[in-house]
Amino acid sequence: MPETANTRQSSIRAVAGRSALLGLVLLLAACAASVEPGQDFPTPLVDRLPLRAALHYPPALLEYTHQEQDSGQRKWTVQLGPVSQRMFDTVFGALFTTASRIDDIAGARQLAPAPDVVIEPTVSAFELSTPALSGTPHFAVWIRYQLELFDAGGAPLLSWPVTGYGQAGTGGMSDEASVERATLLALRDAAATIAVELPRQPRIRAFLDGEPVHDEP
Amino acid sequence: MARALLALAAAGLLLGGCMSSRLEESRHAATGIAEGESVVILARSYHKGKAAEEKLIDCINRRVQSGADRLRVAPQQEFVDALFPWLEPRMAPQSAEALPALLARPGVAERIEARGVRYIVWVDGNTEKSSGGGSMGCAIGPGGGGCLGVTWWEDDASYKATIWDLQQQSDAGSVNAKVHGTSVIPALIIPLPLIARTQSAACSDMAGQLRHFIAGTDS
Repeated sequence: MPETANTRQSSIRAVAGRSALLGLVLLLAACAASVEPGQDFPTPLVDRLPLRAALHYPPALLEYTHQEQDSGQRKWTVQLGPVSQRMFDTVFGALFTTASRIDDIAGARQLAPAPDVVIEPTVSAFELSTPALSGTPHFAVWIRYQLELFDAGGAPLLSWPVTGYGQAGTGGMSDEASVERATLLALRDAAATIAVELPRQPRIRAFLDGEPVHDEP
Repeated sequence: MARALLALAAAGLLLGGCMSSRLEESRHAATGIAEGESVVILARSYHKGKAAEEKLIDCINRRVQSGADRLRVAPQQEFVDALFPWLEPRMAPQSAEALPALLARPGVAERIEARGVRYIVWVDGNTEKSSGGGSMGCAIGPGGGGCLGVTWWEDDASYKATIWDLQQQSDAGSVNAKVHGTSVIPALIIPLPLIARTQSAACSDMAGQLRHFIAGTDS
């Protein structure tokens, strides 16, 4: 069928429309950045505590996502849940004689042998600093976790905030790679603190020595 | 004409800007490295001040293990992971006095020995733009385009490498590299960049001096 002026005009409009849509999509993609650190963590070289642990990761931790818009109008999304879970699995797996996952706190009672401690971590704060904000050539990430430890009966044993800080330069890396690196370094920092400092916590020392550690009602 | 201008620009890139450098060494103990022994080069913690750029650490790593007097260099990330968490920024020992305590931790000495690491080199410092000025304008029209003016800036690269001998459990000494560079871009139709690569020069100076220092051939 011969091409008429009308069909030619329609084709031109369709191509122009598609190009505009593609341009808009590309523009939006340039204004948004999503980061999900995928790396594993090294096993800490520390002595194991003579305790069995049950790990409860609440949905608030597993689904934790940080979103913010920086001063350059770029929207950042950092998926912290899955990588936090991997970090805690690695650290607690090295710190305790056993570290079993449970779906809820009450599930600890069904474990055999029964755990000595139940641990529930959450993310209580996350901050992202960009070069535009700080005036330095670094992206920086600061994370604060809250670790709640209970004994086998469910009584509170320790409530412990743990912070992690990481920074990464922008040289030779994309902004996304720099934020991913800074996040990973912050996670490693938190992991190092837990691996070294948890066994030194006075309440954990007292618990290991069989001393009473619960607060008076 | 165009070819001549392009050749001039390429020559400018090759020539580079004006640089001056100073290298200092402070030795506290005799050094030497045996067959099968290696060094590991790490950035000082950003928790304690200015951590050297990853690019510079990679550059020193590459250059220390090249040349006739090259040293064996253990992969930095693999080494830090093997000793996790003891070399993390917050946990790493701040002075050689803490080395005996680090080496006494369960498994640490064994993992270091398995990798044949004799020396840890800690690098700190950075490269900063200290001043700059000038102006340049570029325009393009139907008959062609071009730039006119001059712009310049100065960079200071200042790095210190501290060498710990794990066998002697002591601070063997340090090497300081300072490079000052002035970069200029004059433009008469096309810009002619004369860039002073201060960080690269500091890396080269530092790596060369570290090879001599550790091999014990500097004195």
